[in-house]
Amino acid sequence: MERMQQIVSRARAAFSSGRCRSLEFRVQQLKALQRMVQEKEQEILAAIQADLHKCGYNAYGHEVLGVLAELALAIENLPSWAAPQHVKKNFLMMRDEAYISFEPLGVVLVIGAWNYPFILVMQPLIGAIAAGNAVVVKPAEISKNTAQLVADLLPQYLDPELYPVVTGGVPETTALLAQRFDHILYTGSSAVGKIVMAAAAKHLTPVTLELGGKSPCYIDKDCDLAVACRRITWGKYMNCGQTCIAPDYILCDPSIQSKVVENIKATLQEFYGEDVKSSQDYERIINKHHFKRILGLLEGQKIAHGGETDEDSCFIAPTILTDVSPDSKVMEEEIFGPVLPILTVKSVDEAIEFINRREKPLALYVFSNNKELIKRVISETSSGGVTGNDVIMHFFLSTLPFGGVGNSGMGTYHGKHSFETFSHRRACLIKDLKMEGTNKLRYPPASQKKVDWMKFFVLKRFNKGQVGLVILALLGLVAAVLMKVSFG
Amino acid sequence: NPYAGLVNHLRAAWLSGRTRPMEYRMAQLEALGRFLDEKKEDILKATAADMGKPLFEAEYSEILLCKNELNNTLNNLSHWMKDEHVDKNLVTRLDSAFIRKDPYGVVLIIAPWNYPIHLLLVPLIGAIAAGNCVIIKPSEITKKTERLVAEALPSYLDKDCFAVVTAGVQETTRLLENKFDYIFYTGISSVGRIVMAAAAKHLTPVTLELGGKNPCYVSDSCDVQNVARRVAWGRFFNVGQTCIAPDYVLCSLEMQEKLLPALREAITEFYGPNPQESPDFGRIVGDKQFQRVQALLRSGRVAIGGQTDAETRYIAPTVLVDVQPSDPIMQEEIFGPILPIVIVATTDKAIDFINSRERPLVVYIFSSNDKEVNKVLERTSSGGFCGNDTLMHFTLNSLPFGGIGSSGLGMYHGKFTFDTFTHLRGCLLRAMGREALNTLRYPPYSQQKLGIVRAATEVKRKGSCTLF
Repeated sequence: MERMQQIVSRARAAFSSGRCRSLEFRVQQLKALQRMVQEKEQEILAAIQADLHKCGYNAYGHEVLGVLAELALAIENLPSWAAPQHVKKNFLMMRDEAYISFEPLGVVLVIGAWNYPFILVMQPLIGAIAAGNAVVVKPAEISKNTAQLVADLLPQYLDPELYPVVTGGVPETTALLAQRFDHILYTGSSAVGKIVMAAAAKHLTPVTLELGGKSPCYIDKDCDLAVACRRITWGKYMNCGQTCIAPDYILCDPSIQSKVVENIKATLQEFYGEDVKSSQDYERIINKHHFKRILGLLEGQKIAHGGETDEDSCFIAPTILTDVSPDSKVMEEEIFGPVLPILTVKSVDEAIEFINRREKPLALYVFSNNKELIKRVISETSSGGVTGNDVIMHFFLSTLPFGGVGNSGMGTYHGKHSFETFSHRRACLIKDLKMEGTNKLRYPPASQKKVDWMKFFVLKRFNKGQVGLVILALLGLVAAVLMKVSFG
Repeated sequence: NPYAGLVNHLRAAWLSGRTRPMEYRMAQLEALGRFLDEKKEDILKATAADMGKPLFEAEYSEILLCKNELNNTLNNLSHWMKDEHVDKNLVTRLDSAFIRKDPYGVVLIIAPWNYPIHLLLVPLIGAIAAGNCVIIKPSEITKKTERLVAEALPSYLDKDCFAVVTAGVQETTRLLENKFDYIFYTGISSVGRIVMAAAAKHLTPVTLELGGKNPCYVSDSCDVQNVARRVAWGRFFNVGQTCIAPDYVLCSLEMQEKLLPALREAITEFYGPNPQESPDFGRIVGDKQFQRVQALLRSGRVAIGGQTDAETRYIAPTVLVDVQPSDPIMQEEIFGPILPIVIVATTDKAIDFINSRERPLVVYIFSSNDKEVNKVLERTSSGGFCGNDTLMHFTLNSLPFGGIGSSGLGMYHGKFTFDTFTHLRGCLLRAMGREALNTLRYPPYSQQKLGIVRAATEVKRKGSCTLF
């Protein structure tokens, strides 16, 4: 506990020194991160491989590429993101300065997850640094190789007081959460999300919680099944299903269920060959605990494809389940594994109803040639985000805010949204000490005349196009003179 | 769970989709406008009875400002509701990418007593505009206003989607056991913590509009008479029961000597020689609050005012001097018509003083020197900032209004209220064709595929070399 207190107060003192306020400093730190990712690329890929049995290409494509993109975006745009935003003024404030100032919050805590252990600490860290904060980074302990690497590397490239890394498990995280932060971004499960928010509540700390759920995938009868299934196969089995926005389960008409299975099987063959276990491109379950958990979900299910496992290497083959009942265990929790249940529904109405009866998911997927149908599903459901006719991809467009809703989380980040999440939008109004005339309207003693003038200024909505600024200015002048005469 | 039935009823209405169409929301908002028009006299009477709110203040804060927000929302709703299309990268160039503005569902608004209609209606306007169902909990402290809201408001709104709950502390605790999709609370920090802890159990996002001690630094270079008027107005409006009132003044000894007569003059200008007789000066809302504020008079020395009358809950517009930072009046938000002056020698000392305390809802500075204003702005942190005036930043609804640290989290006013009650849903709609482009991302992987992916998706620094 004491160690955590020291780390956080050192970060706070470093923040209060003001050195991370300047844009130059922030860009310098971001550029250092860029160098780190480029110089240590092999070490990073090796750590991810050790944790998740992920090949270099995959690790690069899933994690490193995204980090480099975020860094480039932040470095490029920081001056415009951080610039004060002038706002529309009303008539009374025409001569004043009114703007929103983007300011750092202070000391931010970033808690990462193990499934994409590098990008899920780096992406929030980038946004928090860009916004001018000090950041305590707590990588997930389960992905221990990446956690250790982050703990070793960050102090070599970044200001170690401002951006300390804390490694450890539940006791260390609990001790950390007892400290006071100015924002906490947590990626992980809903159960722990509640614990994080409860800890944050003690200090009135705002939180961004990137949680999970069961992301549904509705396949309409009217769609190119081969294409749809290829995309779904990619999104479902990448990282061995351990992706927060993986399509968790499929909803489709009973008449196309077997075709869906056929198409997925064919794609799996294309992707991983005859013997999946020997494919370099297929990952493993992170540890024995999750391996056993996922195995448990297969009990009593109709396995249409896959089902092979090997506990020693935490291997679970890409698996498809058919005719799954909504009440079965596999439909109770987020699967987070390479098991794809298919549930049949007779219509899109039934699918919508099914989805709405459950907790709001992090992602929602719809496949259809019918644009109207897709729009309808989106409008009649709720989810963190949506990709239509594909899976996962909305994650990679950083202009889209990424986050959950309800049980799948709160708050958003990515790109500029990260900057805004980690900033305080401070409203600034700077007036003149002169021009006291107009203020007299609001001072006591009150009178009907004052109320009428107030209404004129506050309620009247001028259409600038019609009235014109010159006339407006003239009116202002006349008003000022009249008021000086009335109220002295 | 005494409120489960009510919450379930609203949730069923929410799931029916009734609150989503723009026409529905506009109709409800227009009904709110009629409430403000038709019940105006009742509102003014109720707030006068509850806390002696002067008619001008009530009309301005409870009616005019609410109508402003309402009209602004009605004028802009269709624009705010629209899908917001976003810039795309190379990979998604031919897709449709937009942010969908989704309502959260069933939201809870808990309002305080100091501006009992305003601080209930303004969040409500945004919640309705954003397409939610709402449970409204007005303050139990301002009883007549509470009754007015409970009896009159529901008849203007769709009863299946909007409900008013009257509740004291115990009942509110029970209410908070239910799952809401958003909670908007205005009040004090200690209860803010309780609300957020309750929300955490259901992973409910919150906006907390809290308070603190808003410092008001008066520099040596300023026009004292105008300063005194603006500070006095901000301090004594609603008898100081305003979350953004200047809580205390920081200034040099020389400035204090100039400020005191100027403040005396301003108070007389506003309220006459005997403020107790002025129709423009209100009363403390209740006996408990009166006793709390009265006790604070013992700090320092009374330089102006100081008179009280427990029977009418009157406390005179008061200025205290010789106040030490350790005095009781400097330990809690005053929320009354008392203005303590604390002496600081320089602007830097004022900044240090402000920074040694919890971050307030607003920082005020009076100075005719721009550099000084900017210095205080840059070196302090607060919900909002107002230079050379008090309270006014609140009335410009293009500015976000909210706190930071113990003064709150989240923001609202104008479009920010709509955004607060909206889930920003990122949507990407792709086409079934162009599958060839996707093969780059599919296994089996290769160096070649990676190279192309890299080239196509990287965001590069403008003007940098293409070779890493």
